[in-house]
Amino acid sequence: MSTVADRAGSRRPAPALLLLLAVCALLFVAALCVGPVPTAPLALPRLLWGDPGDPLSVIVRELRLPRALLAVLVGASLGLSGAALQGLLRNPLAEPGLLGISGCAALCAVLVFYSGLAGHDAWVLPAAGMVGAGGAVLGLYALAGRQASMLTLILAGVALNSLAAALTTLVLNLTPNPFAAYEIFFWLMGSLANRSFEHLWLILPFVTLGAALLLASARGLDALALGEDVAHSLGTDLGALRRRVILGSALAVGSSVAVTGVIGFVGLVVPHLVRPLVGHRPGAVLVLSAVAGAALTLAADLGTRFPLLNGELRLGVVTALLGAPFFIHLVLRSRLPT
Amino acid sequence: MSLLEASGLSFARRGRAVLEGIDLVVAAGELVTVIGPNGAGKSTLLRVLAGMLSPLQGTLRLLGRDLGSYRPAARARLLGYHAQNPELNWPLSVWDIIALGRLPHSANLGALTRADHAAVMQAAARADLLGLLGRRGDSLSGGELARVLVARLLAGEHRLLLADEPIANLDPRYQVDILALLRAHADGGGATVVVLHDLAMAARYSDRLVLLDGGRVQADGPPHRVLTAARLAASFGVDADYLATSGIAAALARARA
Repeated sequence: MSTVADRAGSRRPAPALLLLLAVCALLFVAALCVGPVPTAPLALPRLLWGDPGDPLSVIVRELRLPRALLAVLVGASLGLSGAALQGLLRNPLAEPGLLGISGCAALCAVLVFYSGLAGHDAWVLPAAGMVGAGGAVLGLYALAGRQASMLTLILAGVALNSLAAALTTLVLNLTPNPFAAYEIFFWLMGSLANRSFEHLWLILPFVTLGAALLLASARGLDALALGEDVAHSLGTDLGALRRRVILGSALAVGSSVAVTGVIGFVGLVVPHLVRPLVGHRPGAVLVLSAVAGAALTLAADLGTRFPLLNGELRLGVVTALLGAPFFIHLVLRSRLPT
Repeated sequence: MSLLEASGLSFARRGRAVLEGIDLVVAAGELVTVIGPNGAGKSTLLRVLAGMLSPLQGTLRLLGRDLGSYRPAARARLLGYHAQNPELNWPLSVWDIIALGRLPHSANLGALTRADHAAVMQAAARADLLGLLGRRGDSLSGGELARVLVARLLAGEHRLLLADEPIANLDPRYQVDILALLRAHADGGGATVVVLHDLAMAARYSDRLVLLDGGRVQADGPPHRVLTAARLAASFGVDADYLATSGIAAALARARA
């Protein structure tokens, strides 16, 4: 029977998934090898499982491994959330940042920096990020109402984002200590450098729960391709679908932003990279977007390790430099007659 | 046995009554067309019948059971709905669009079963779409897309179909194609409720017409009883000539002198 679907042009996700997983694995190995002290890939097993006292082994195990794993987790969160939000809002320009989730998470993290609470405990900052993301969700519901149309939801997200940006700059403006301002400023650019396993374990449960909610939305997002009324008639509970996608994005993205800062555009770009491989069915795009998001974030993080002029690039800067022109390309393409 | 039974349905939007005291029974094998002037409440009625809007008053039964008591998936297996302004938000392939009709049936993560494949192929064959299955939805003509969306509706193998203006903006050939498909569904033991503006087509394909005006049922019966010159004058504000061939006042409406 599968030949029918093949002939019908319905692309099968399995080969594309395998391809992306292979790319992701290669980039992961590169992430463990590339740095100021390069490592041969063949030496990795010895460095990971061998003599724990070897300095190179410490670098790979304590610095590069958590960084690479965090890149996978954060990138998958952003890619999956982007794909799910694009499906929910039926808008190819949607991403976690659009609904104000990243912005509000960043605002709360910045407040923690400003108040000096960040130094008290490693858990304070991530907790603040998730509080911000959760607050963004509550704000969305308060602004848009429970039965909001998708357009109202987008507008509420834009409004929330503007408010978060305004308050973030206010905090920067009022920071009395230039060092704190410097710290906030750099944190806002997003980075995976100097993150430990502690950060990884901290966000893993939230990312897992968020991803499960998003993956469970696949059928509803498929049905939404034909509009809300038809989706309802196909048995989709639209309210529950909206709650799942927004809460799932808040958990996955909010916790990610809390430990890495703002990493923009991954959620926007990744679903567009995946669609030529697997077709446009929103449910089919989800899993591949998670894998492609992990790969893109690993690649972008590798990009930050090449010394440039007189400093290290920040991850959020690299993704923005890649993503913003892509965003412009999408806007221009959407203007062309189809 | 009646598939759908509505009794005393009313619905209001922002305090203004849109539907009042609607009684409607649709039996298996019937194609019932709702006609009426713009703003009569036809689309609202269809959305209430589909369970998208909850009536303020009245009862609505599907196969003898209160519509609201069905679980969404169970309701979706019995009842299919075609929207007035069909949306295609992503350029899905024709196959993928038709396969969406199987969503209420597939339990395992949306993967298509053998029965799903068969239903999709059958619906595609009936709508004469076998040659187009690999095409992208956004590359189709309006008439082709309309047929694809009706095939999506048929692929669900629902007992009751609700179709809101499925032939709007189509040329006569496609209008005939699509109404013939909906007629065949009724003849096969299902039931169909359609909203149409084309009174001649409504008369030709329907067992019964329901004339809706001002949110109330003004007439309900066989086409030749509903489409009288007096009723068309009262509801649509037009004079109508009787067609010699069919004796139905629908086809030749003209502006009032």
